[in-house]
Amino acid sequence: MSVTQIQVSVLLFARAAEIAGARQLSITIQDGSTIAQVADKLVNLHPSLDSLVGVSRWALKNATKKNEFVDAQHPITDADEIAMIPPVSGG
Amino acid sequence: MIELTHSPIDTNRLLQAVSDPECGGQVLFLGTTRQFTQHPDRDQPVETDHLHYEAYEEMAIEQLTALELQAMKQWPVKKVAIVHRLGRVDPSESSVGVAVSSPHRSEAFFAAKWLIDTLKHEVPIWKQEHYVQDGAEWIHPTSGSCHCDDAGKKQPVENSAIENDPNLSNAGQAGSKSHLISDAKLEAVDSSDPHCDPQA
Repeated sequence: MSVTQIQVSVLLFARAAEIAGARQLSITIQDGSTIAQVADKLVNLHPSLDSLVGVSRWALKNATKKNEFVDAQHPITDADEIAMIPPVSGG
Repeated sequence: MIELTHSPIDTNRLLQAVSDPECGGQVLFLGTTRQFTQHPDRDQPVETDHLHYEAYEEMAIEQLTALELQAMKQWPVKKVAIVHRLGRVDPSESSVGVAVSSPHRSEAFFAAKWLIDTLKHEVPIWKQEHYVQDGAEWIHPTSGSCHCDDAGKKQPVENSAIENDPNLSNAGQAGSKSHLISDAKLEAVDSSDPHCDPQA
């Protein structure tokens, strides 16, 4: 049985964008994966993101859903846009 | 009114945005850039040259709009205006402005405090501190490091000064003590906000 691959986009901000040297990464991952598995992929690509990934929240947006925070076990689907939200410091 | 802007915050515009003939009170909070700030890894306060803000803009706008609606549901406030700066902000300039109007002042104070506290914990905006001495650093606060309840933790020691000051204690009359008690109760309710660690 073949495994379907999907592609999601991950938005990075602040220190995370600085570490990765990019504001957006495209990640190919197995269909049925969760946010946590996307996070693992991010750390594989950029090991220095590890500690920040551990304290970040995740927001998800797609054709049917506005940006909202989701937990790490949330399943992702093709063309989802995921934002890694490290601890915020506005104000 | 909800805005992210690269321009200096126009406080008159903020106050105009919440102006309402039914309101007897307007509260305006401005968050400003401190010149010296305590750094967790250094003994001495560090001097900030300037701050640089960035946001996940579309989500920040959505969330600020949601906070505005939530505040209007939670308290009888009539209007809310929030503006947050992006890009460079120099010391003593404002990075954020929150204005609230309500028929009576108490609700406006509480709503404004809740709005700025919740903004600081929830809305995807980040600051990078640029130091006078060396380098720059993105700020990603660890949990429990917030200052939301700093004032609530302190006993109002100034009261004795007020009571001993004939001008002030006369103005306060007998009612002053009961006001303090009810304020403390309200503060306790407020500090139960799940975003804030009251022990922090």
